[in-house]
Formats: sequence, C-alpha cells, structure tokens
Amino acid sequence: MSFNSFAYLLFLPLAVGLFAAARARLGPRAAQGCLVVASLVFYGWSRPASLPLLAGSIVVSWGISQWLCRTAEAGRRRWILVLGLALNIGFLCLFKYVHFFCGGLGALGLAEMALPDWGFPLGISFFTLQQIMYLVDCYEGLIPANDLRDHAAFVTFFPTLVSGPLTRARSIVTQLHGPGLKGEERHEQIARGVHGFALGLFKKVVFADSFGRVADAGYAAAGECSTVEVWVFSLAYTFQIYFDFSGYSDMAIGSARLLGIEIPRNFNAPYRARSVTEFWQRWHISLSSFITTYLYTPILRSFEKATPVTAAVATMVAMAIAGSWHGPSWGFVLFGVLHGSALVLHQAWKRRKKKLPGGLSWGLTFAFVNLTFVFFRAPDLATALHFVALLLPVHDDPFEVTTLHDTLKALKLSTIVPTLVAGVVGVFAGKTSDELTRDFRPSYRSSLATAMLVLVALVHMNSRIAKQFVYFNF
Amino acid sequence: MRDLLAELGPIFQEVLDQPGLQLTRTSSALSVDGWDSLAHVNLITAVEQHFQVHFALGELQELKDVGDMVDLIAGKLNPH
Repeated sequence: MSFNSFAYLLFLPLAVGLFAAARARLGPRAAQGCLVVASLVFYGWSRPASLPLLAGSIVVSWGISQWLCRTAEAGRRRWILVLGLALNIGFLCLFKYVHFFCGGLGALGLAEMALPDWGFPLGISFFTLQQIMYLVDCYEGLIPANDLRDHAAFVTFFPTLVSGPLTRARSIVTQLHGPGLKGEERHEQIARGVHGFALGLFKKVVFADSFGRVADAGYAAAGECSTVEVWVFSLAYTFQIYFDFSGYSDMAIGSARLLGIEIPRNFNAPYRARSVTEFWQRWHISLSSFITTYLYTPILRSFEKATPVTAAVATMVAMAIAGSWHGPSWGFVLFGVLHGSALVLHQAWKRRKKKLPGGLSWGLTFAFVNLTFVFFRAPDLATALHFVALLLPVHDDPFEVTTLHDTLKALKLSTIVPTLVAGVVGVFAGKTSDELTRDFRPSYRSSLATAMLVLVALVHMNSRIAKQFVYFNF
Repeated sequence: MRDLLAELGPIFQEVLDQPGLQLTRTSSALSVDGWDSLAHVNLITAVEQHFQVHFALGELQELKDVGDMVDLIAGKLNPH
C-alpha cells in the first residue's frame, strides 16, 4: 500500500483508531498485537507473496538475538552476531543483487546462469538494515533481546516498514510499552501528525509528481537534449527525488505521530548545504547516521591508526556500500563512489583551513549533487554518462530548447510552471516541513490551510494514476 | 567526584590540536572547528583509553554534544 493512495487514506484512520481503542480498553500489549496485524495488512495489500519473506526475516533475526543474549562467552557471541549479519545481508543479496552478480560473471565470460526472477520483497533494504542495527545493539549489550511480539511490532511498524526513516529498536519498543502522551499534549501530537502528513502528501503528489513528469520526458528523450535541456531535466529529477522522499518521510513521521510514536526527522533542507559533508548531514539523515556509525566507524577503527589516509579508505568503502545499497546497478555504485570521493576531497580541503565564499560553496555542492543524481535516474550507465557529458556546453547547439518547450507544452504550461516555481522556492527558502510542523498550532486558520493542502493533494491524486515512490524500488 | 568535563578538555585540545580550546557541555561537532568524523573516531579512542571505558556503536550514534559524552562516561564509571 502506498502512502499516496486512497486506500491508505482510509487505512490510516482505521489503524490509528483501532490501535487507540485497543490501548485504552485492552492495554499496550494487546494494542501492539493489533498494530502488527494492521502493519501486515498494510504490507501485504499490494504484494501478499512478500509476507512470508518478511515473516521469515523477522523470526530468524529474533531467533538469532535470543540466542545471542543467552550466550555469555565473548567469542561465541561474536560468531552468533556474524551469523546474524551474514543471514540478513545474504537475504538482501539473494533478492536484490543475485542477478547483478550473475550479470557481472557473465560479462567476465564466467558462468552464465539463468535464474528465475523471485521478485523483490517491498522494503527489504530497510527492514534488513533495521534488524542489523538491532542485532548489533543486542551484541553490544545496549538492549535486551526483544520478545517476538516486540520484535514483530518494531520491524513491521507500518509508517517506517517500507522506506524508513531507519529507527532504533529501543526507541520504538520503549514508546510502544509506554503510556504515551495524554490530554492536551496528545491532542497537539495528533494535530502535528495530521499537519505533517498533509505537508508530505502535498510534497509528493503535487511537487514530486510534477517534477517527475518533466524529468521522465527529458530522460526518455535523452538523445535529443541540449546542454540547457540536460540541466533542466536533471534538475527536475533532483527536485523530484527530494520532494518524493522527503514527502514520504513526512508522511511516515506524521503517521507514526498519530499512533503516538515520535521518530526523528529524515531531511533538513539538503539542497541548502554548502559542502558534501553538510549535504549528508541533511539528506536521508537516518541512513547517513547508519553509514557513519555502523560502517565508517568500525572500518576506521579496524586500522591500527586513524589517519587521513585510513579515514579516506573507510569513507570510500562505506559510501560504495551505501551507493550499492540503493540498487543492483553500476549507476548506484558510481553514485556512492562519487560521493565518497567528494567527501574525501572535502576533508582534505578543510585541513588546509581555506574557505570559499558561501555562494560558491553552495553552487559547487548543488551542481555536484545534481550530477550524481543523473546516475540514480538514468535507465542505464551509457545514458547517464551521455547526460553528464552534456552538462558542459561543449557540444553543438547548447542552448537549443525545442525538447523542453515541447515537454512543458504537453504538460500544460499554465499549471505546471507555477507548480515547479513554487517547488523550487520551497526548496531554497522558508521553513522546512519539519519546522512548519513543529511550530504548528491548531487554529481555524491553520486547520483550514491544512485542509486546503489535503484537498489540492486529493485533486491531484484523482487526476491521474499516482506515481509510485522512487524509494519503493530500494 | 571527578570533574569529567575538566578531564575531557586536555584530550580534546590534544586530538584537535587546539591548545586554547575551551570545552563546555554544549560544545559539539557543529561548534568546534576541526571536529569532523575522523577527529571524532580519534577522540573516542583517546577518551576510551583515558577513562578505561568502551563505547558501543549504538551509544556513539546518540552522542550529540560533549554533555552527552560526559553523561555517558559518568554512567559507565558509576553503573547502578
């Protein structure tokens, strides 16, 4: 089930109501059970075949954590952790990367295997990482092993199950066990939940989908684009993916709030970053936190000494993994490698203690980020490289805009251009949706504004088939 | 009662190579120059060696500022 669907708009209040009623009448444990059932309905709605895979992953990780916490001997505990990590990573690789590896083997002239396409359990990249964090936390003695109901509730938690934000087990389980907010504070939490959800829905179905239609047209006509057009179409995708994913995160956080659970923000105006390092502190914050804590730090500490050189190695390895986590293609790996290289360069630059003017830093950062997103979006590496090459005005007719003009005309200039302009303004100026929601106070005016957001979003949703979330593919 | 903040000061000054650095509970990677991810790992290693404690990865993720670090160390030195 997608957040931007009519089915979810019916499901969410039902699930919230059921959870609240169960909590009030039957207690937190029973309410947790109801939440698990609701989450499984949510997950299985579009692809019931994925349910046994999700259930299997949950039971296996839970079993490993129980075994881990019952074992005292340090060496044995380490091996159990390694087993748990190997099973989770193996599970992820089996469904995501096996065809990629086989393709690589085939290209090297080695075994040609025709493997059946098992399909892709929705959210596998996310719920696998969540359980990896959980197993490491158990190993380090930070949390006791969950009982099965807690673990199932944590992993299947429907606001975050499919595309994050990545959350720590302790945070979710503690909040589910707790009494929750009451009275005035609870009412404000619900209001902020509704408001955040409305903002996210608007960002997704109005902004993301509008930018997406421009980007789709551009990438479909990649062979005919000029420099100016490549810039416009690549920027369209850069804005699309931001509104798409941050809108999704807003809806996830809003949905969680309605259930009485607080989860941290996932975006903080990333396109205002003035360095690649700052970008990763503002973009997909839960993932970059995971990369720093669970990849970069252990890799760096495995070296005898943490020096600029070993830090560079750790950065490159961590970012290459992070890039390929997004999907089984060289484009994603290249995305990770490019960002890793930029981070290393930025670290070296900072050590020279020189500073660039703010505007130039921002411009370079944004242009670089825009370039790397070409590798995200292009259907294959050849198209990506062709697009990237065109970003420089070294070809014939760099200012030709026929394709762009035809695209915008087909999408109705009068409606799409104001939307795109408003979107661009929102990205670079004003408060973030997280700040707007934090400052939201229910009043007639603010409630009416929220209702209008939802109404406009519903009209957009009804006008054509909702575009799937970009990050559903990860 | 150990003054953990006072003990952290010289460690930070040495690792970040800033002899004049004044540390407060609200000092963080955002406010202290040179406190990047590499320096962070070196700081953690130096702090662990000095206080003879071990930080779990999950605990590192929760550290937002020096105050969090002081509280974490205090908790490890005086477990209840």
